[in-house]
Amino acid sequence: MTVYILQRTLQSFVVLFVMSLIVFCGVNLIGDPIYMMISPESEPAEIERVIKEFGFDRPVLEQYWFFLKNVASGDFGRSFVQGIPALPLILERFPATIELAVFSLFISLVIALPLGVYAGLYPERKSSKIIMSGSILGFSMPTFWVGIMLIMLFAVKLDWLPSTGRGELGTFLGIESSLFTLNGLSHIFLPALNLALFKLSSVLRLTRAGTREVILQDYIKFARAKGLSHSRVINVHLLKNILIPVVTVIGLEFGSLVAFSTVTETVFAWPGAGKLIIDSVYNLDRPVIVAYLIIIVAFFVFLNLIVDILYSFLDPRVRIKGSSE
Amino acid sequence: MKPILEVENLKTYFFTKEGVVKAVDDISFHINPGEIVGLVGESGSGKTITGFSILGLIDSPGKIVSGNIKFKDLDLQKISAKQMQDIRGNRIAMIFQDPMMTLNPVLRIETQMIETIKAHNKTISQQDAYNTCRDALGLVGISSPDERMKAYPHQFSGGMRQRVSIAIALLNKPDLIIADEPTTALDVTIQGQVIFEMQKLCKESGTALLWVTHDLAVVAGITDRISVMYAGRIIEQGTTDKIINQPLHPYTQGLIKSVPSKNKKGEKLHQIDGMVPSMFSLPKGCAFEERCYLRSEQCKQEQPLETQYADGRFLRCLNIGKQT
Ligand SMILES: Nc1ncnc2c1ncn2[C@@H]1O[C@H](COP(=O)(O)OP(=O)(O)OP(=O)(O)O)[C@@H](O)[C@H]1O
Ligand SMILES: [Mg+2]
Repeated sequence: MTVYILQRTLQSFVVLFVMSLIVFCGVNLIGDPIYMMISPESEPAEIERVIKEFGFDRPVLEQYWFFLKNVASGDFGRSFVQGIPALPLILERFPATIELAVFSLFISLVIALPLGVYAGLYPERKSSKIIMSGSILGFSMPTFWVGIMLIMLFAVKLDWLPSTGRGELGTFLGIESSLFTLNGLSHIFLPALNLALFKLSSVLRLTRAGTREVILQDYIKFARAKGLSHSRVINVHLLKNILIPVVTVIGLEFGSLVAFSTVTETVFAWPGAGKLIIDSVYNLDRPVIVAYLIIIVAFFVFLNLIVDILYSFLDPRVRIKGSSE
Repeated sequence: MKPILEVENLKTYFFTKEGVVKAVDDISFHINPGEIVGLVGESGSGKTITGFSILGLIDSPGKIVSGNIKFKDLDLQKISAKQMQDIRGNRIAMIFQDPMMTLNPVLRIETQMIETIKAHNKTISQQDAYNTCRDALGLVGISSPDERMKAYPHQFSGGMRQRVSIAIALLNKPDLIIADEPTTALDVTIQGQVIFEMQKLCKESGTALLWVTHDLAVVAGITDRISVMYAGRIIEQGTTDKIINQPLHPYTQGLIKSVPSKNKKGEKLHQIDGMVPSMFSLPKGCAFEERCYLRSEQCKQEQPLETQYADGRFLRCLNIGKQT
């Protein structure tokens, strides 16, 4: 197991390195940040000085090498716009994004798992068909539009929930989050629901497909033949088998939930990293964009590793190379 | 003696898109307490579906269309779902045909055994349940059962998995075990041993056995009575001695001739000509007619009824009565 984790970690570093190269070169292609920093009317000598100072006159690869050296010491450069280091700027925003993603994952699981199992167990029922058509709808409606509709309905018309911001933060076990206060929960609910819709339909379809497949297996019939209760057959024998693909997908999708929360964060003015990156793209704030993308990639790679490890716990048949068992 | 199980005119059909499959079509048989009854027939003749029907495990598009299944004094068609659940795995247990698919791949053997006890005995302690399960594993010949309890099914061979399901069937000391090809997945050496063990266990605890198999040779040595199935019907049933030594139905005769044995050494093995008819388009008359050496014009038109003979055997054949 340890050998396996080491191997995977090494692989991850290679992926990160390649990714950082692509990101760095890619960002250099989009616009010239010079004029974001100083007025175009400045003296040519002044412009020359700034270009020299930031090293924009050097070849891209040389700039990259310089960047790598800095990153190795934890320095992703300073935001052109705010003048503070990029890394802490992003990390400071991350908890809000993670919290939004976790809560929306929770919402989509709580809704999609039972509905998916139900639709899988009774595919002929009208209610199942309604659930499945509904999930197609959830799949195909654009996130920003749903977000605006949620605001219109619950915030403007009914005035039940607030529509912007993160609300009060509470502290629990040293973690600061809006999940720990009522006010915070009321703030997170709408954006989380909005973000959840994105994943809800895929989890639901996966659960339904898994249920339909597993329910036909001999071991389910055998479990019934042993006289187990319906709930034990479903909650233990069936669910444990469906959870394998569901956990895999959820784990992988959690990364995309974080990465694509940008739309939701923008609609609900949620002060997370997604909103920051949108603002940075507008301002051509290279260091922030690069740092954000690299953090996101690192996050994906890390999640993949976690999912693989979790998978081996859930499914005893998965033998990991180098495992001692 | 009052039978422990009585099946009367059971019909289980599958209503598929391609047509109605009469998997079990009007079968009747009974099993006395402690008795071993063989249910023999070719692949697809409806043996497994008979077992599932008894346990109420027929799922759509299948349905028990008519008939009575009486277990002790209970009409299994009329009792509640809860009562049926209490009987399953407790009073009537079943060993499934395919040992590779029977055990849940993601649960430990321990879990799958202990839950069988706890489902029917809410007050038993975890430790007592564990001990019973471990002893049952030992009983079916699994070495170092304590270690094995912790294992997952994929760590077992097919034969060992079959023994685990036999052990599970024995856990609650049922009155009846439906054993669906319990020894087919085992090697010949183990086969004899498992058959012997099961026979012994059933004699000791007075458990009745419905032994389902396509292999007449296996069943000949252990059963008290045999029912022979063909295309969803029982075409002949009687005591093992009568069926093996004086088979009357042409199909039974064919089956017995095709069993390899010592005194037929060197001879070519007998084969019943023709094929089992498709279950989607069974003929109007006798389903065996095309392959039968006794066939007459009447067989094409008329469904033979089950008739009882003086020696206690039942037959479905239009021509036998005429002959004798
Ligand atoms: N779910 C189903 N849908 C449609 N037909 C079915 C279904 N299950 C079983 N059947 C049909 O019922 C008939 C009897 O099947 P059954 O499994 O009882 O045969 P069997 O005697 O146990 O054969 P084998 O020795 O191969 O196990 C077969 O013709 C089969 O095609
Ligand atoms: Mg079968």
